Amino acid sequence: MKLFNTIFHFEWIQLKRQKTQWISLFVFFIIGCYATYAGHRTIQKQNLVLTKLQQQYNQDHVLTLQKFTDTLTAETKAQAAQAGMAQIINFRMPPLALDHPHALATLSIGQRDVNPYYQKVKSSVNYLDQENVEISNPAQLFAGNFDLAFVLIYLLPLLIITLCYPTYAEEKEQGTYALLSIQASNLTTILNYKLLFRLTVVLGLVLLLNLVGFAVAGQQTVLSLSSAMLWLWLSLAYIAFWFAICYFFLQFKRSSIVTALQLIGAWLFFLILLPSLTNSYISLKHPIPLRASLASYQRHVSEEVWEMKPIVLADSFNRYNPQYNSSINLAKDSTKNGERFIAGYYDLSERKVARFAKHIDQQLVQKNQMAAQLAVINPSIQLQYLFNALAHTGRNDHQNFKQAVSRFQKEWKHHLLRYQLTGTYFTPAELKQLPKFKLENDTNNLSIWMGSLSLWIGTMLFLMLSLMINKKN
Amino acid sequence: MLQAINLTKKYNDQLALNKLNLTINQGDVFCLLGQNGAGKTTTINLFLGFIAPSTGQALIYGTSVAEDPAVTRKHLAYIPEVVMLYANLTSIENLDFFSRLAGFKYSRKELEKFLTTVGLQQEAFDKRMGGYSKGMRQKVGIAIALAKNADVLLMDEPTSGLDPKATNEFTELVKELGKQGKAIIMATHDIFNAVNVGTRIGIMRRGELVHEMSTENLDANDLQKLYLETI
Amino acid sequence: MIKVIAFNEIRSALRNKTMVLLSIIFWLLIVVATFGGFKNYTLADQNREQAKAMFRKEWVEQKANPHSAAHFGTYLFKPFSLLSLFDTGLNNYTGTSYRVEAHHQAEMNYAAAQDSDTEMRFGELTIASLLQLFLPLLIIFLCFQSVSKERENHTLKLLYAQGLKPSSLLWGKIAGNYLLIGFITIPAFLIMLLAVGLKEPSLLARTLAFSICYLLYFLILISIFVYVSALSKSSKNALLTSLGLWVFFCVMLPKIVTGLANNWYSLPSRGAFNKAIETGTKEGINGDKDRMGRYKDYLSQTLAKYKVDSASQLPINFDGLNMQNGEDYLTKVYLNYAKEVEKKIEQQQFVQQVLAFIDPFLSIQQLSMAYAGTDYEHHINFHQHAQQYRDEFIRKLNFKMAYGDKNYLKYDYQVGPDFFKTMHDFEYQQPQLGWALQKHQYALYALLLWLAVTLSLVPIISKKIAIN
Repeated sequence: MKLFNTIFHFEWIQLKRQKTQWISLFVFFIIGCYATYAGHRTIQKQNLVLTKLQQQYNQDHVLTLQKFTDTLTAETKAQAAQAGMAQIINFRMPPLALDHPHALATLSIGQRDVNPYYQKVKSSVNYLDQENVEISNPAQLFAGNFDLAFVLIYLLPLLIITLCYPTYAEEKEQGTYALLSIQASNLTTILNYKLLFRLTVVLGLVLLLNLVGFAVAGQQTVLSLSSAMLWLWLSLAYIAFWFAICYFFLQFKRSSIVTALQLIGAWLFFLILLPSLTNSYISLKHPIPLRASLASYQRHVSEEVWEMKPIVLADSFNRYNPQYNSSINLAKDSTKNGERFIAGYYDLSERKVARFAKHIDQQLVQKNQMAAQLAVINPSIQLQYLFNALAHTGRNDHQNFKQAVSRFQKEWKHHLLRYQLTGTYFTPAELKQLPKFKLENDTNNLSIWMGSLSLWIGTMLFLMLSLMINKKN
Repeated sequence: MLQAINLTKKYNDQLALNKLNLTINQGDVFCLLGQNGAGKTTTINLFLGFIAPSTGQALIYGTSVAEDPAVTRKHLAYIPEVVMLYANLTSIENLDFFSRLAGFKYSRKELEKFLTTVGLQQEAFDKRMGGYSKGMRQKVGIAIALAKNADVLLMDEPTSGLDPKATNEFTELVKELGKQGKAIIMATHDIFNAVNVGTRIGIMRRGELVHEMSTENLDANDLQKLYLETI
Repeated sequence: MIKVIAFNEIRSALRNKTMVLLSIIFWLLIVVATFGGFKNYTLADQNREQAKAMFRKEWVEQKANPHSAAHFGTYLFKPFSLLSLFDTGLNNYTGTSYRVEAHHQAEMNYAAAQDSDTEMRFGELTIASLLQLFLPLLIIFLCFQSVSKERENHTLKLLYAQGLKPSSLLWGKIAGNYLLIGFITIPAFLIMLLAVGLKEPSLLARTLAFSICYLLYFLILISIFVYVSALSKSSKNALLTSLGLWVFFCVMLPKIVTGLANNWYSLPSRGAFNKAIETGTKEGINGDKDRMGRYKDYLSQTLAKYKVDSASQLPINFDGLNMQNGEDYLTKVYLNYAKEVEKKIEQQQFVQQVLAFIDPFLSIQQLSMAYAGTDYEHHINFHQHAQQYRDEFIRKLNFKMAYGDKNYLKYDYQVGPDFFKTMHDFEYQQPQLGWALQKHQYALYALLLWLAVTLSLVPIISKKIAIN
């Protein structure tokens, strides 16, 4: 403990007096703050878009209600009579499905810039054209977001490397090594304490940066304590991993230049080479399907179903949707373009296309499963996955949103069908009680804890290798 | 206190030190002379435990250096040819740091006393060592050795590169330490200084201790003659 | 003198095991990137060609009412040239297919990024990523101690004593390291040229420009890192400074720049864009009448033209004409808003181009994508062509409704392959090299300026080399 105090005390004095160290720590802090700010702007913009959509919807709601009572001209009077018709409600005020950003999305934007985060839900699904993909400059998506997650994943290891690489070699190079080994009984312990001091500095800095991040992230949405703690835990795991790597390369006791090069090599390997190799492997193994067959199928299905005999179509509809049997009207149902024909047309063609689309989704699921499995061997990608999971900005969260939208779309469709098939209209009062989109968005804390294990395993692996080398010497 | 028994160090086929037998007692200031590569630094490094002997033993208080360097180092202090210290720390801080490592916690007053003893000016105590001359660094190095309160001092050409005044001050200090009962080994090229400071002289050649003598009644000129004949 | 220094530099590099090892790794990665890229490219190309043939076949073989056919529509697929395997550029982030459909102006759909998770953001292994990210590190490794080591070994004094001029030292160091990088990369470029020459000779000019720009970029990097070595106090400092520059210019700045450009020229949301088109077509833009007003005007114009009193007296199908009138207005509204977006994106692109004067990495990144045809300009060019084709396509179908043969007035009016075959298929030709260069001229000027500035710095830097 005495030795520990001595080392920390004098390391602190030395750190205080080294301008370049301070500058690099300060620059890192500023970069981290900027990244938080940049993330904040991106998410703020998304929040603004969502707010505007909601306002627009509220306006549409008011306008739709006005139509009921607007009997000024003959034309509007005719419209007023129709104002409560299900199809018109579907057209005038399609409900919104919004994927509100979680607080930590500010710190880890993840795939939120690529994936749609809102949708106007209509009674029928359009498989042919994605109308809700956000307008963006592909060059921006390509360059990626400068968020805190990026700073922690890419730049933090570099800071750790610059702090650690000379730990051993500088004693040799400045000539204090011999004296140090004579004065102290255990040189290894001293060097370990020195490394521990640097670890403390990094931990302090990252904690500070994360606290700033939390403060900013908490401004727009409430940040739960457990999410914040998990974020800190993940940062800690990643710091531990990179210190273990530094510790490993320090065991070779090479000159500071060689150690620095080796560590930069490790950085290049984990952050650029390994990801790009695994990505290339994934795209070779699971190329992304073109979806041409889906488009072709959908077009054929819609023609085919449209050509079906109305009564056959109505039959198929009734079989799948017995809840509407009370409104069966054989005379009406056997005419083309009747309510049940249209409902049956959408019902059947969507059912068929959904079955076909499942096949393509399956391919994508496989591709992404493989990607997630490969991420386990690379702590850097794994950390991005875990940050995204925590911030609800990953692909899984988007899939979750899409499924919720899909469920809600069905709910909306059936809500309308109840009116459509019985030929009843919405009353203004009923318009105030329309189904609302809800997104269950629980963080799976356990799986994030488990996911962080791979970082700790990496850490242990490098520490064990270090011990082996240490013993050999 | 210090004993070498058939101490031998081989680098591949090269004999760096061959069967050195040597005993150094309290109050001895043993000066090692010899050309570059004669084995002086090897001897010192073997006692320090920086390198392991091929055969033979280096003993300090009867403990083998190779077997338990942690114990033997407790008795040792070392002054290298060029004392290098942390440039960002002041001389007092360096002294404090290295003393604490050795297990000693001194007050500021005591630290200042050590620095005064070795002849460092008061003004230099709180200056960072980055701008120190070699002589000044050497003084702090000696202060560190003194502060460790070790019985054995190992010095590797401590006066090379020092100006005459600094050399003189250093010599007086070493003599004083010898009188206090420390055992000192000092490798040097300075024959005159060796006669002046040493109680015993050893001349080495190609890893062997060729001559060993006391400096009582020894004249520097005689020694120089012997030295030149030996090598 | 310069030659002697250069030769010595090459010799010592060749004796450096790490250096040789890194070159071998680089070559292995190039091979892996090329094979992987080629496999991906051929598969994607095959799929695209098949899909294209399938949609064409479905189109010409149908028997349908022209307007139903317009609803049935078709799909267009963005072709990629062979060069896209050298630099996949924005391909993962731009849509690959375009839906042609009546009453609807589509965007480019299905970008790979939407089907992938976050790992895609870590980048792909391509020749471009190796040349842009990996090779600079190799160059740093070669150059960081080129001058500083001479100083640390005190050989610098010896060299000067032998009569070497400081500027010759720098020229020699630059030349030696450049030749080395040349040995490593030129074979790769030659193989690329050969492969392209055999498969697609028309792309040779682009490939050549691709190679030349990279070679110029390496020269810039080598001189910068030799200067860093010359000006640094120690090799260690030189290494840290070089790596710092690399991280800042190649990893951080590109993200910061695009982020800033995105803030300065903010794009509308898709929701707002769709809403604008919806209200624009309904209520009219730029003082036009609303949909009903436009309909009435068009009807009276047409009636006047044929000198009749009602639509039923017209010798043509007015529904067909009116549908086209609606399409024309949709196109007008769509282009009105799409041009705004395009303008904003062009402004963002311009920021990137201008900042290439600060960061040479941005310049080579853009030029590389431009030559490979995987940049934003090529993407938008395809989209514009596809959109124009779509308008023509729909017009032809609407006019077939309006002016078709004598049966055109009947509800179940149908036409068959004879007609659909006359509608030409979508043929898209990538623009020429000159076009791509013109679009990225500032990036090119930036690269050339960087080259001129860095090389002209030799005399200035050589005066500042410390001897001790």
